[in-house]
Amino acid sequence: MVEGAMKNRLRELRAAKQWSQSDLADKLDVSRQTVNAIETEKYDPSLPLAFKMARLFKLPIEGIFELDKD
Amino acid sequence: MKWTLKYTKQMIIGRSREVISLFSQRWALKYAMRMIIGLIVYAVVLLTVCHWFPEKSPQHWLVLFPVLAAIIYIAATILRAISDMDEMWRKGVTETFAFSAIATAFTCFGYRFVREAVGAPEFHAEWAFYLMWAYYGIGAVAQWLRGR
Repeated sequence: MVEGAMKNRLRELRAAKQWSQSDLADKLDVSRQTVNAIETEKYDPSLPLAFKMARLFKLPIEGIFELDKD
Repeated sequence: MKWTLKYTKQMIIGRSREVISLFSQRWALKYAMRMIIGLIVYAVVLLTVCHWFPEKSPQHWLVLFPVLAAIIYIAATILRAISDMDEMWRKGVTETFAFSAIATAFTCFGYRFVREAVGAPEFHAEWAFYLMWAYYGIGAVAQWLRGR
């Protein structure tokens, strides 16, 4: 739960689909707390989870996550 | 004031629901049952062994085998439960256990020197068990504060 150097658009993408954090958590097979921690950038997901998200939103991983240059 | 009370009540209810939903998950129930079984076996084995083996028996080391079997079952159950957790929880629990194990090991090792230096009471092996959980609690609070 270390504050990572990754930025993400998960909240924005989820809102566009009108899903709650629980809905997204169910689709990704993780807890709601994990979705919240990823959205608030307190936790960086594993590579398999990042791929799952990319597949779910039909985007490349770079379309969701971005390495913070700072 | 009224607003604060309402907000606090909502927060407590919300948190409680989250905790209940977490513990009502199928994996939690499955592993809780296994832990209960493991702990009952552990207690029964300990009591039986203490009853059967007279004090200062030359075969005292044999006691280790049945107790070890119960310990291995409990440890394996904990490991399986952790590996079945959601990835963020798994990371948090693993880090907390690592902190607890390292802190307990260094406390047990360093206590001897402290004892010799300041004349503290003799260390009892079972203290390590309580220490480990105390450090686990500290680690869990630190994790929670970091993730807030």
